[in-house]
Amino acid sequence: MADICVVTDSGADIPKDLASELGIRVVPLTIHFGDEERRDGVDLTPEEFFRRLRAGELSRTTQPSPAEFEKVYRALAEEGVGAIISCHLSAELSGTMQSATLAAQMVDVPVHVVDTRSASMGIGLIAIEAARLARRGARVDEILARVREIIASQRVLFMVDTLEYLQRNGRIGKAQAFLGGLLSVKPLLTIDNGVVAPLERARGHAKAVSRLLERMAELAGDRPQRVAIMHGDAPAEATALAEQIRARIRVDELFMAMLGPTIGTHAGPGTLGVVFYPA
Amino acid sequence: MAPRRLTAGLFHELIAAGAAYLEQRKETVNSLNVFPVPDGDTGTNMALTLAAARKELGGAAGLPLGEAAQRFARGALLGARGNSGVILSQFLRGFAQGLAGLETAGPRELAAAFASATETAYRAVIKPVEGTMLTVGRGASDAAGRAAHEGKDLEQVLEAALRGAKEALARTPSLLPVLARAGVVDAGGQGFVFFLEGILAAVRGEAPAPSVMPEPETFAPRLGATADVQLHSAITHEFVEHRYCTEFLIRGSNLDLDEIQRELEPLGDSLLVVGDSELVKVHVHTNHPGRALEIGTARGELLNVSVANMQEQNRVAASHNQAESPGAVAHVHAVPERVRGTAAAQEPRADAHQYREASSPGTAVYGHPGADGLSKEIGVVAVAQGDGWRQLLESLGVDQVVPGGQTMNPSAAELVAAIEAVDARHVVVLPNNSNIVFTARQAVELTDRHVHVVPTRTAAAGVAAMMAYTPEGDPETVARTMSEAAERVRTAEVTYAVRDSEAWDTPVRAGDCIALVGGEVRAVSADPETAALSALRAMVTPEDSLISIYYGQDVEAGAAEALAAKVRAEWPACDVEVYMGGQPVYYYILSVE
Repeated sequence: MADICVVTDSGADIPKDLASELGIRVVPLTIHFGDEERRDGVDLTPEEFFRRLRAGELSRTTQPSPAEFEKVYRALAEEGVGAIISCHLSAELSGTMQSATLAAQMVDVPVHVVDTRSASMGIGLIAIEAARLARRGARVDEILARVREIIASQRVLFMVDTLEYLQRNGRIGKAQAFLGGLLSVKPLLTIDNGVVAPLERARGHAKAVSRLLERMAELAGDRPQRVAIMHGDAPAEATALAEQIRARIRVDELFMAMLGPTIGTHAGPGTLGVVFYPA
Repeated sequence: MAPRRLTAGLFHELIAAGAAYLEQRKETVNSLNVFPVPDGDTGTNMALTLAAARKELGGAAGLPLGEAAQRFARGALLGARGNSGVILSQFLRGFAQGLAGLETAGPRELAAAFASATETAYRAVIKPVEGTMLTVGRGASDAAGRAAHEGKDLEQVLEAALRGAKEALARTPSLLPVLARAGVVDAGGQGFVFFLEGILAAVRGEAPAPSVMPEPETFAPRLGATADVQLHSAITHEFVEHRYCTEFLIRGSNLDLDEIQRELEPLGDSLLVVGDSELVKVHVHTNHPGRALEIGTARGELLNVSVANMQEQNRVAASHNQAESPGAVAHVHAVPERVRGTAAAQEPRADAHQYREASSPGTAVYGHPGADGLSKEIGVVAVAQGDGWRQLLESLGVDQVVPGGQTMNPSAAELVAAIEAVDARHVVVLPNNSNIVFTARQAVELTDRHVHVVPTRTAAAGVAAMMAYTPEGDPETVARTMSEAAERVRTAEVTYAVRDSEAWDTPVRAGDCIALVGGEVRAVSADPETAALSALRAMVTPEDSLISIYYGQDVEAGAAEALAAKVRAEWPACDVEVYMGGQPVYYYILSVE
């Protein structure tokens, strides 16, 4: 057991195998289908979640309670962990940060709670790099410095099939002008300082993907990038996007992640996105 | 009995006569437009501009002449339609400046006002092109100046002005090859001559003498397809004499517009001082923005101060133009404006605002309108003709759709009204027609709102611009991204020719269907659908994924669907979408991206 351990929440969408390989602890958010309560990644798989969403069911999310975080932190302390770096969903998008921060004050082990100002693999990439640095024996302050660097430099670009999910859950900000439209349009969005912000609309999936690539290439420049592709149960589109990205920009490492129920609730099926930062 | 001095009453009478005569002859002017597209509207636009100016003047009885001329000029500025109207309004502005402060005017003062008119109009253009309304105006003012110098009376000075204008008009084809090729004189210049003819006849108390110019029917218009491109390339964004476009509002009491104007005049040019005794809008191009602001603070409090470095804007504009790659799609030329006819050869100085609107490293906006009661940061006004377009644009987030297009150019005042009806501090304007771009830029100067003109040339380009629109964020950035998005689509228009022409491989006869790509005729056919297909063949590249067809009011939905089926068969890799635009004049507007 490493002296430093990384904790995150189920909004990070880190592939399960990778999380356990790197020893990252994932605290689940609760997913509600009506009165039914499930825990993301514990008793609800992404596959079942998207099947139910596509069948017309509606879901909601609630943040983990402080007690849940406390339980995880305490357990880690008992395992002999000397410090915890806890990376979470943007405080603008979720109350998860609040619970984690309260829990951090309830335990004796030092917990550094990090607001990643992001979501999905925007959290995931940070947690992965932090865990790798911890494995290599980096100090807490070194890891936190790198984490801050990534938060400042990473970019998220994503498109949704429909804005309905973001809107229904109040996660879209004030971009009402993006709604509706007689033309069939795909919105291209970003997460800017913790909130979902509209970038532009594109006419059709192909145009949206090509605009996403153009913007990504512009932002990435010549530097090799660490990249994660995120998809809301659209593996074929994600694979095609990965190929196009590799052809277009210098890729240092590329992760493929399926959105879990937490992010899936807010973005909806068919979502396709990318997060990247200079490696 | 010839009048000895020009009074406000006589001014009113003469203007009315000149405007009425131009109104009568406007179709003649329209027919001189150098393009086979049914937009011969130079005469209409000039007549409408004068009508708006007269309305603003109202009854001139009892006014000093200087004030009557000033009112008339302000009305022209507010009502300016199309390029020719904008240029005419600059003449009238200079004319009024020349008469400022005068109770009445004698021959010499009249000649001086003519000179001021010409000077102002030339100054309003970044690089004046000879062979246009400018040349004709200078012909008039030069001759008037000589006559006054020789001690001629009022009537003789006006006579000289008309003679000078006619001589200059006759020279326009030798100065501007596009006119010679088309076998016409300059349309705007002809309109100017008609205006003077009507005025002189009224002075003499007789019916206007018919113009010596040949009737258009006897012309044999020939046209170089690339004439407009050549014209435009003659216009470069070079040296800006006065570097800072300085704008602000003065709020106070008993504000004296004339006095403010007189104090500001020595500081630079393109001066505009409008408003009333409590709120005055100032616009001036100067090398001393600080002194201009001092003049304001000496009288009241300043609001909405903005100082933009036009030289920087021009530099950006020039590099922007260079950055466009003409080779990318061989037939879409890189010229950002489709320039046609008369006034189009002359870009008003307001054009220096072009990239303040789209991207402006030089703009500094101080003093944000705070308690202005406006709820949004950014809103959009678009010009479009047809119900379909209105619905499409509104559904994409356009706040106000102003009816207008190829055959009906809205006035600057109409645009200002729409801009001010938008509940936003910054308003993006999509002119959606090359003939409305200048008017939109005129509107920038006439409102306190921050206006950003995204110079779209077709409604389809307007749709593309709306794809990049976000109602939040930095307005300059949003406007720039919208401009870039509009440039990423290629658009074509299918219409009919209004006159014979031989400039292309295939002769065009009046009534033929023609397809315009980037403003140039690319296909000629007996039916609109064939013309549309030919245009698409010239436009679609393997990288394209979407073809949009917007059909006009003269096209049946079935015909449009049949065209779409052919397009889908020919370009199976592209999505093809069909929408009812409902526009007049154009059978189809097409976009490829």
